[in-house]
Amino acid sequence: MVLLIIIVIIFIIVWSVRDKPSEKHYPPPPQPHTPTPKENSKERTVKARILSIKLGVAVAMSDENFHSSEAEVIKEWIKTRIPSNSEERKKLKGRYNYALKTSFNQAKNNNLNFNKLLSDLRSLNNSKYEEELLELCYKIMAADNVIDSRETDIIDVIKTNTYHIDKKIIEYFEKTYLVSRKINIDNALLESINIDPNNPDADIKEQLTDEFQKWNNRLTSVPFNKRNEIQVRLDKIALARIAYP
Amino acid sequence: MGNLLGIDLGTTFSAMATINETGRAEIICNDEGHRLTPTCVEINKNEVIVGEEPRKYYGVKKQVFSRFKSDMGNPNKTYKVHGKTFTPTELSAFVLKKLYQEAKKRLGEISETVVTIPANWDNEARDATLTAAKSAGLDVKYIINEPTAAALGYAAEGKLEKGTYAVFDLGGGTFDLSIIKVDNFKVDVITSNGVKKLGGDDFDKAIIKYVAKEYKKTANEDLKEGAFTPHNAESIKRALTVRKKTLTDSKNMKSDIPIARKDFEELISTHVAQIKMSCEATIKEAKLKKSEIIGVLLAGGSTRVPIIKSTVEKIFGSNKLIETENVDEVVAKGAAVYAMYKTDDKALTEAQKQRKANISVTESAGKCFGTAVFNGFEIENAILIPKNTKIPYSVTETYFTVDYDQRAVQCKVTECTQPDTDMEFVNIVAKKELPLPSYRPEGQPVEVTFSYNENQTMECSFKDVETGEHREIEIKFGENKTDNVENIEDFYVE
Repeated sequence: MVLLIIIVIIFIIVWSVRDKPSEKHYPPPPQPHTPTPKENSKERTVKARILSIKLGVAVAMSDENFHSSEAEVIKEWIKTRIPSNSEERKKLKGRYNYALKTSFNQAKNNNLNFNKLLSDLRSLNNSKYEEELLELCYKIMAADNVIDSRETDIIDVIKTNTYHIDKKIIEYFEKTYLVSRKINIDNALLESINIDPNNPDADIKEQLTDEFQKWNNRLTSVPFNKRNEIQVRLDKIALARIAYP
Repeated sequence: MGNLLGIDLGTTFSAMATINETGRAEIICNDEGHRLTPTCVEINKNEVIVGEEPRKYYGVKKQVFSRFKSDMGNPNKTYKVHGKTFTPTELSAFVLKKLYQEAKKRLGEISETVVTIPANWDNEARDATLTAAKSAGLDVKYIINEPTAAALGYAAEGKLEKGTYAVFDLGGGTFDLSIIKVDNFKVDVITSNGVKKLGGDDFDKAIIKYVAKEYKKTANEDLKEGAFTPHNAESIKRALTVRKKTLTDSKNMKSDIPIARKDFEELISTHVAQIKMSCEATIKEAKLKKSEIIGVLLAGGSTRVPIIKSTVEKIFGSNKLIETENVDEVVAKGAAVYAMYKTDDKALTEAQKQRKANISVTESAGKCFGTAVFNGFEIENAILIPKNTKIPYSVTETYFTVDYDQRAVQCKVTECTQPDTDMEFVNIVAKKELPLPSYRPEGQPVEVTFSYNENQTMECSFKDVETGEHREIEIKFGENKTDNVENIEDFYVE
């Protein structure tokens, strides 16, 4: 009798908890994901870096040339800002490379809106992002060993249009990337136009004049699409000549 | 008597001159009564305005264009307004048309017009200038290089002693230096060089950049577009020729920016370096010592800039500057003298004939001309007429076919400023194919003749000696159109 009672009770329990076959089963509705403060800050950093990449391309191409050494600086900069975590790495790599590609194409077609990018970066309201950008730009400028006035002009615009960069940090960047390289830059400038900086000054002066004449003459003979390249060379020669009055 | 007209189509300002009955050159004023006309064009929907009025709005209104001379012949450069696109040639045509029509109002029918061009220009730019002149309704048979015209402008006044001079011509957009020999009214060009894009306009741009940078620092805001225009920059530049310091004076700026002459000189230091190098190279090319150059004839408004004057003195020696003529007008006057020189005596007065009889101009080739030949390894440029060859000049060279059964020769005419053999650095100005008979051995002679006349027109002939079959190529500047304007009226905006 007791056994019978136990069996009946078990049956009742099982019957009451079993799924009713006629009713549909839905998963719980998805809850909207509210990013944690940590995730929010991460996305802002990525956004800032995308803007920095684009602005870096603008600085590099301000002299109308994207030198491989400048591209290398940006590449290295991106590399050090991608975590080792494979899934996140893949995502970020894609986003940064895309930023590099689109900004390069836009700069080539004169469509890269420098002011808008800078104002977007400024709206993120973070001194770290601005410092990161400025350091990248100085590195790019020093990369090809030629301090082009167009590059310094664009960096000046960045300096004066960002809110949060401490003057001491700017001085530090200038000291690190410009002043200490000054002598090397002069030499590298001469080497970049195939003149040996160890030659006597009078010889260098004459060689500069000969090089200037050679390329200035070629400027009007080559097709228009090649003239910009020659003009950059002439600008370098003129810059070097200032040191030999 | 026919009327003569010389036009100096400048980058920032243009001028026109004629020869009066006594045979002297004089400037013709425009309709506004000014001796110079700004090379500025405003294109509105129903009208095109040229000159002083648009100049005030250059850099402010988008439909105002200037400095387009620097891009003459560049097929990639266009200006868009009201849904239409204009080339530098078309914009230049608007300016030339205004000048020509106003000259006709003052003088009556014009029998001879000469237009000047920078000495260092390439074939495309020369071509584009003559195309612009044609489409503006001018019948231009002769062109003259700007420094040569300047030399003629000085020499025609009869104040130069016999000797070798440098003509230093720094205008709004180009720099030219020519070495010339002057003997009374006779001008003989030894050599010319220049920098295609270097002039007062570059100085103005440097000032604008500087002011924008300093304004940002002072006013803590960006300089608004159009707040400080090229016109304002030019005023600063002019002020700094007499003052050591000046201030910007623009109603659209919160605060004025001081600018010192030494700041300005630093801003243009790379341009000055280019001028120095171009001068040194030219003296070397002329195989002269500086002491052999007895004077420097100045032309172009930018020669008024003090650092430019001191640079010239440094290069050529002090007390050699000659400024007896107005530097803004001397090129146009020289062009008018050249128009008289080229005109048939029948169209001249007695006094003009007498003056003309004393004048002589000997030009030299400003470029090297050659053809493409196979040197056994690769195609290279062979020069037939070197730069500085006195023109008119004719030369014949014989080349040979390189293959058995060679069916054709590609006849190319090349142009370059220095004797480059590398085809990468030469401009192919014309090409044609000369067909050859079949099955002949290699080594068949082909005679190539280049004849270059004093109007810088080249006639080239490529002849197969055995058959007498030949191909003629005439390079006549102004007929090889680069951006084909047929009629300027087609480009007026409706």
